[in-house]
Amino acid sequence: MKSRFLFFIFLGIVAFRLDASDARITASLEPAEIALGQSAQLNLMVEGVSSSSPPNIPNVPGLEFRFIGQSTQIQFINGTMTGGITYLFQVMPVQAGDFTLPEITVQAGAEVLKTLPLPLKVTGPSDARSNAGAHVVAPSTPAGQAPQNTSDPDFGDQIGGIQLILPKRDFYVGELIPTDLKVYLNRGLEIARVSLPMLSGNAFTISKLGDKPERSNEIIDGKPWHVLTWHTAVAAVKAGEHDLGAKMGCTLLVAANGRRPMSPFDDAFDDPFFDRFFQHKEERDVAMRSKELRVRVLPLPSEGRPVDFSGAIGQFQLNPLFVSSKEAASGDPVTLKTTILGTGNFDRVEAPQLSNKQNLKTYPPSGKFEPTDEAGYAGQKGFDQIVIPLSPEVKEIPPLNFSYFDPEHKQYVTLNTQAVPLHVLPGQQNRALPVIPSPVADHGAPRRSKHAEPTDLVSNKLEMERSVSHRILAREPWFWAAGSLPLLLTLGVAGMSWQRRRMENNPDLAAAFLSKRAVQLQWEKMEKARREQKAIEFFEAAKHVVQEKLGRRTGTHSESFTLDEVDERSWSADLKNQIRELFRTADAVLYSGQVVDAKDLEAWVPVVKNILRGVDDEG
Amino acid sequence: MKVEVFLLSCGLCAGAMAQNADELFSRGNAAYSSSKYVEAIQAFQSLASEGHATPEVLFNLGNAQFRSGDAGHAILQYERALWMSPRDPDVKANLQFARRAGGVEDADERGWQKVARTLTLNGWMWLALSAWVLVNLFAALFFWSRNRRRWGFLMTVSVGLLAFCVAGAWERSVDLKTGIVTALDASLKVAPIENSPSLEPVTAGMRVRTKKSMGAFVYVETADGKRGWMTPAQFELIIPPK
Repeated sequence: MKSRFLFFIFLGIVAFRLDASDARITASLEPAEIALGQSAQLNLMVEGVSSSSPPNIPNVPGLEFRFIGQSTQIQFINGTMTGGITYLFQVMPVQAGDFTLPEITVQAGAEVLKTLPLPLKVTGPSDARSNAGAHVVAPSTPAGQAPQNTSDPDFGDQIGGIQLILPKRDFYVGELIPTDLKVYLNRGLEIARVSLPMLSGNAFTISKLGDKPERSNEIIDGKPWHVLTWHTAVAAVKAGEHDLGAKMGCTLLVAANGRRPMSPFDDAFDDPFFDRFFQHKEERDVAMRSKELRVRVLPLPSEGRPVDFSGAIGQFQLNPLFVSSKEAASGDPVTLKTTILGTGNFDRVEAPQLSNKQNLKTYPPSGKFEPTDEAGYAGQKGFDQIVIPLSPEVKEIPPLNFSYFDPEHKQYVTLNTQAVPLHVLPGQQNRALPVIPSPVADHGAPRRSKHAEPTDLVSNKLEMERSVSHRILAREPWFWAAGSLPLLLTLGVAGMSWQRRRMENNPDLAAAFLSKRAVQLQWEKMEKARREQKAIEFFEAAKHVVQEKLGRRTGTHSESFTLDEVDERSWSADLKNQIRELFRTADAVLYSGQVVDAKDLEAWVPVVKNILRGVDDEG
Repeated sequence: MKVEVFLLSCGLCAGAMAQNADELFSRGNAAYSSSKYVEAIQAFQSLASEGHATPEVLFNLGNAQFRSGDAGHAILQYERALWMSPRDPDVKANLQFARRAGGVEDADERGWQKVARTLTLNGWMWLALSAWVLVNLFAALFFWSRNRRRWGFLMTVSVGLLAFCVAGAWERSVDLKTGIVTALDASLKVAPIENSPSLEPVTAGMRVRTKKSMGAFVYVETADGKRGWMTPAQFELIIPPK
């Protein structure tokens, strides 16, 4: 409720803003030329307004106007609000001739807007539906029923229909028949989507339908229809009498049963304009089906069927044979080019066959079809075939044969090309042939264009590399090992960098680290002095080791740690005594010149170890 | 003294082998020019089997096989030559010609595949290794340096280069599992058994990608997406396994 109220406020603001802007009108007529029986659409777009009076359509003798509907647009572009109303009219001619739609006026607020005159040409009756030879299935009542309980006044009884237009009703198995498939959709209905039409029954196939059919409008029995036309082709797959029809599905948007929930604004805004926003619609699937045509499908006659007949049915021509070279060495390839053009089932058109293959080595031909219509019924198919003369006895490229069935004359036809003279040289003269030079074989020759299609083999290479490695690096373990070295470097640097940053951010950690390193250093010095039996260095290092350890554990400066501070600690008497003894002996050796035996140095090492362990344990 | 004699004899042996290879190569070319394609094929095949499977030897072997009417094997040799020398216009031209002559549709190469095929797999691998070294170097500098922006940018660029090279190598490595149909009457079978019905005939010279093997059959996929079973005798891998 609240959001709807806000929406009305928004619309009010929009209307105010739009009315304040410049208004203008544009008119368009689509198409500008129609046949009698068809209709055109007149679009009147009034921009820069949120409301206006209905357009005043003048009377034009010979034309009738029918109001289809209107739509309102509001847009924000780069912060600027634009909007307008579009009025749609159907223009239906009652006679042929050149017409001019005079000015149309619209009252928008205080302004009177005028359109420019529009020309409309109406030709004679459309021949699409009056084709004398065509067999037409008229739009039929759709299988789906019109939705019930709808208030839409334009809602018709018919939804749509399908129409098949065939040039004839007797044809042969495999023959491709150009067919127009027209789908009529009621213009008064709102259609969400339509599926592609398909043939009913299993006796026929249809060429692939494009997703962009031809669009037009038609009036049938006074009712306007949207018409979608596919120009396609059908073919029968089995002989006999069969019914040919088409079907398709479509989804309509229809008003849901019941009115929207009652609200305080229902009376105030009971206008079709607001139905666009609030009317709830639901989708309804309907199926459409054409009336079926009885078609007689004849089998191809077995009498007179050529041996090389591949199933091609239609009217074809065979262009003269083109040979890439009139002179060749035996063993050298020659390209034959042929083209078949006309109308029919080109998917069954195969390359013309050589009437004589003696002393010729042939490769399978390649074909390419270029249609000239959207159904793939008319066009031309070109073939390339490589042929190698194996002997100088070959004097010509023999005629090529192509056979097809002509349904108009009900007989098989075989077309032939003329034989083309060919001068075949013995193989020894191969090098004298005008083959494309190899850049290796002939350094002076210009290089071939990058996109040029080769017409012959490039001749042999005359020099070769001494050696070439066939190792695949991806399979070599050393390659992956080499790749892991940079990773180890990176990981090492990353680890060191992490440690460095950690210490920079934590001074206590850095001090502990340095102290630990100092203890290790002094211990190593002490051990070295012991081995060298240097008492002074030994006791100096031993004292520093203990001082570093004590300083680290007690949080004081290691150099200034004295015996008095040892006494203040709540350590065991044994530990204190050991420390006192070490310090006293060290001072005596360092400052009084006391001499210590080498054996005594050995005895002091476990004492220092005990002190360090005791400090760690008693903390 | 003994070492010098040994080195001298090694040098002489190598020289003699190279001379033999040159002679065999010239003999193959002479036989080809005289339209003696079987002799030419034998000469080039001997060279290839003696460790001289260079792009030139494979190219000439392909020419001789094509002239003798064996488009399937010719296409195989051109593909092998192109694997080692991917930008050689002669090999490309003859491969295209042989495919057309053999009725084999050209593989529809997308833009990226064309780029990837300008280098060999080893070329892409070397480039990728170089890019990997750069990535690690810039990463190490990024971690160590206090001015990280510059090294971070260079590291990102080198990671992009590495991704490009890895993608190129990946695309080229597809050929390691690709074979060329050489049998004239090959077809894709529904099941990996001898009397299985055939799904689709395959033309000699067509590329097939191997997927898996079962017993005496290999499951393959053609360039146009058709799948089925073939025997290993019906095709040869472009890059023979070790």
